[in-house]
Amino acid sequence: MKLLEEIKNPDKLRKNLAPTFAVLTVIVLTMTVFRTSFMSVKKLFKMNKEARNELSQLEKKSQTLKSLDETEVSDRVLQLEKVFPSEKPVLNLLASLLSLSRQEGVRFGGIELNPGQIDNKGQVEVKRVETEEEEKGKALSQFEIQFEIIGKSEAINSFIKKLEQTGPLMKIESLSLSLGANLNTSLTVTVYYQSPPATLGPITQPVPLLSAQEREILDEISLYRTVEEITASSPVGKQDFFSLP
Amino acid sequence: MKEINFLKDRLDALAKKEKRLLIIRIWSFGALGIYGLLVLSLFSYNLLMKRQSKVLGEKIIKEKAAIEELKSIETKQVYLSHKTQSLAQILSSKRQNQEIVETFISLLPEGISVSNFNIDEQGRISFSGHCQSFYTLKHFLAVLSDEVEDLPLAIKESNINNINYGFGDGYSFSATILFYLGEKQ
Repeated sequence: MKLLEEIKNPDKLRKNLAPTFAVLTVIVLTMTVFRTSFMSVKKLFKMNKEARNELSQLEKKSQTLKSLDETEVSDRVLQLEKVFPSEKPVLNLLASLLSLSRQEGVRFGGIELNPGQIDNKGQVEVKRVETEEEEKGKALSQFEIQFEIIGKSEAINSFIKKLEQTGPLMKIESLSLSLGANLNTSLTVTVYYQSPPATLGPITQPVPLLSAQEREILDEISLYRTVEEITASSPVGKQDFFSLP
Repeated sequence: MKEINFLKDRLDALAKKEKRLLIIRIWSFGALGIYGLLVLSLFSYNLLMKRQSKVLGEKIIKEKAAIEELKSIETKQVYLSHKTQSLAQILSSKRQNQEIVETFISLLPEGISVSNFNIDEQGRISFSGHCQSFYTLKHFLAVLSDEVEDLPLAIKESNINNINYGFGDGYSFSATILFYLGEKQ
């Protein structure tokens, strides 16, 4: 009996050794290598999926940018800038109105404009922002101008027609007419301008392409009458403050 | 002589047990081996993912640099899009005002002076008028009530709000005219 008992115990030990070793190994490996690797794989899978999406967006954007004709885009920018300027177009507005009045044979009775603050910002580099919320677009700006024109009815009619197809962009807000041999018209006109966007969106943000309607608008304004931009180039700074020019 | 073996049953049981033990051992090591392979695969997959992540990261940096090189054209394109959107709004309201002004000038007979002319977004204009002659006023009222051809916009509704006559000073009146804008005339 005693011998049998002795036989029994090592047998029990032998019997349980392999499964016990296997279970212990599985537990240890699960807690160390498997768990860590699994968590890492899960995290990397998510990261790679996001990275692949980002890469696809970037590749698409890069291809779109490469497909754009820089000369055409630059020409459109210049054209748009003449009609819908980024800065208050005070002098160009006066030059445009005088040129149009001469062309249409109408006489100016007086111009009153209140340009207000003159922007002085120079060349500002457009910065890129990381989130779409940070993206800043400058609001539309405008100022009013009142003037009087005198001339024949057809000339005034033609002046009014062409006024709204002349750069800088103008919109007639109100007018007073006195009909007679010569038409006397007082006009209140709103002049529009808009600063360019100060920021670019996140790098993954797609390039905003122009719709067919927007292209039509740009084609329409390319037919607008514009005068050459007036640039002041006289030297500034006076040696003797009281001397006359 | 017949041999009596009292351990036979026990030995058979022990042999069975030994066989079961062998099966358990084989299964345990087999399962352990499969688990080991699984861990190894997972570990290798993890390494592969890390490699992929690195490659993707490098490609992203490269694409970002390429986009940054094209920043000037992107800036111009954003500028165009941004300004064209504003332009579309202005042009649509401007066209409307222009058509109204043109129509109104075509409607006015000679001898009427107009002041306080205003246009609202619905295409309604309000103005004050003055004329010396009764016939000029009558002509104007006839123009408003009759259908005039070749006008850029047709009149939907017109109202003369008041007419004042001052001796020697002519006729003063105020009126509103509503035009059809885009809708069927």
